[in-house]
Amino acid sequence: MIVFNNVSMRYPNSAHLFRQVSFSIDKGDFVLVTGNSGAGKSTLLKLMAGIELPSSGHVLINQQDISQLHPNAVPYLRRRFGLVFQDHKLLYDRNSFDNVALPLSIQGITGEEAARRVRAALDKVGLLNKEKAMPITLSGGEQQRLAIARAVVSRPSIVIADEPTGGLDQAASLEIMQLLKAFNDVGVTVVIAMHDVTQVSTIAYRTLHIDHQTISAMPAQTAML
Amino acid sequence: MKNWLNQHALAIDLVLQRLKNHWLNTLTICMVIGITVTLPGLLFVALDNLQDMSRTIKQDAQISAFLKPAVNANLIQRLINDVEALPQVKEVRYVPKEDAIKQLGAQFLQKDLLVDLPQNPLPDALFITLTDTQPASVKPVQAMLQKRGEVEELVIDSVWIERLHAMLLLGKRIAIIFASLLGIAMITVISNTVRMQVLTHEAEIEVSRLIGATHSFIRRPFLYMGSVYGLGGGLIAVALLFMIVWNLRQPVQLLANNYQSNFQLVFHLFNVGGLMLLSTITIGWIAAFIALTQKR
Repeated sequence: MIVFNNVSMRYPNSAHLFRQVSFSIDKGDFVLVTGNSGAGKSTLLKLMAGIELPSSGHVLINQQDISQLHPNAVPYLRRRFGLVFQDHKLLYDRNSFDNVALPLSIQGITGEEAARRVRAALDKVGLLNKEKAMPITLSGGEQQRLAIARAVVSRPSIVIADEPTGGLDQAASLEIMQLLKAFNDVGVTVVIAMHDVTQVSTIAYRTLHIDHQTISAMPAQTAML
Repeated sequence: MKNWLNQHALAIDLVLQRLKNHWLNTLTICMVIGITVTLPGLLFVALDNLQDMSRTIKQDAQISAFLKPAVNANLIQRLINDVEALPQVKEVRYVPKEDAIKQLGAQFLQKDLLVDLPQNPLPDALFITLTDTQPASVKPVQAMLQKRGEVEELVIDSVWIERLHAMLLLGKRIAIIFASLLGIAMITVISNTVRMQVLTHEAEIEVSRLIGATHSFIRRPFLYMGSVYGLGGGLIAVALLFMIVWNLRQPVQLLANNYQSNFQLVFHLFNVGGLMLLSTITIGWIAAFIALTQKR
């Protein structure tokens, strides 16, 4: 599903984040990307979502090389992903319903169909009773759940979350991880960048650990608190 | 196709919501655009009316051909026939010198003033009314008469029409230059407003881009916004012009009546008004496009 083939990445005027890394993520995987701050976790996720392009090598999404994509095709590639950001990136001038409806609007889905799907997503994250609430009135954990609802409303096959539990307390973090695992259980591939793996509780996961410009893939394991 | 239409409907809805939320700002911008457009609009309306007036006056224009004294009746009739055969000629009126002296005498209070003249000094004359007295149409008739040996002198009443045409042409050019300069001012105003809107919605643009919005999706509401500003400004300008013309109509008519004219000041709503609206909408769209291009 996601294949990195000899991928190197460096930003202009800076050192390599990683060199010649290769790995693959299969459909239905639950993958944690770990590493120290500045190791390149977020960049790795951006490469997967086509937000960044590799300096060299190939990133294939469903056998499609994103480096070969015409710039106009990139937005359509991104629609296959559900993206969750550490800072939520919610729109604070719109209510919860409208925030979740944004990906559907982008795809031209409106009216009853959109409303049904938005409410279903809000229901999954436990925020159905807060569809009229403005994001600023929600707690940190609720805001992140709202961001997850926005990520899954367009039924993506892959959810990519960058530090989704950053800034949240233990209970809220666990809630978010369980929510993401619930999507994984129904076949959605989930890739999460995080520095604190203790938050994954008893979830079975694979790890991609970034260290010293290399990525080591570890087999599935179950985390214990 | 349905999705595409949905996206356009969404963009329009979003723009109208934003404009409604900041209605005072919207109204101010539309007023600025409206007043800016009214100024060249007034010039165009004035020129439009002058052109209408010139068309009415032109119908009375004619060519007067004064004949040589020795030309006999047969030659005169042949000349009349030849002139009448020209497609530009509507009517030829022949006035013999005997009738001309009688008409002249009738205009004097002292009726016997011309009796003492040894001979009739007036020539026989043809007064030729043209069907179309555009300068280009006058020329063939003029050329034909000048070639004829029977004609001694030609007086062409259309010279002043040519001057009027030249003045109208000059006026149009000035109006276009004036409108172009104000159009640039309009583009600057709308462009800055749209750019500020882009900055205000930067977070939304960033999120939308990340989750798969195309350039078109992101740009569309701003392009619509520019067009809506143009439309609003255009509507205000049309309304202002309509009121100005309505207000001036009666005094202009009174003035025209004093000159024995039926001239009436008119505002062609569908022609001039429609053109103004189309121009302002287009300018609004272009201004927004420039703002978005500069942003990238």
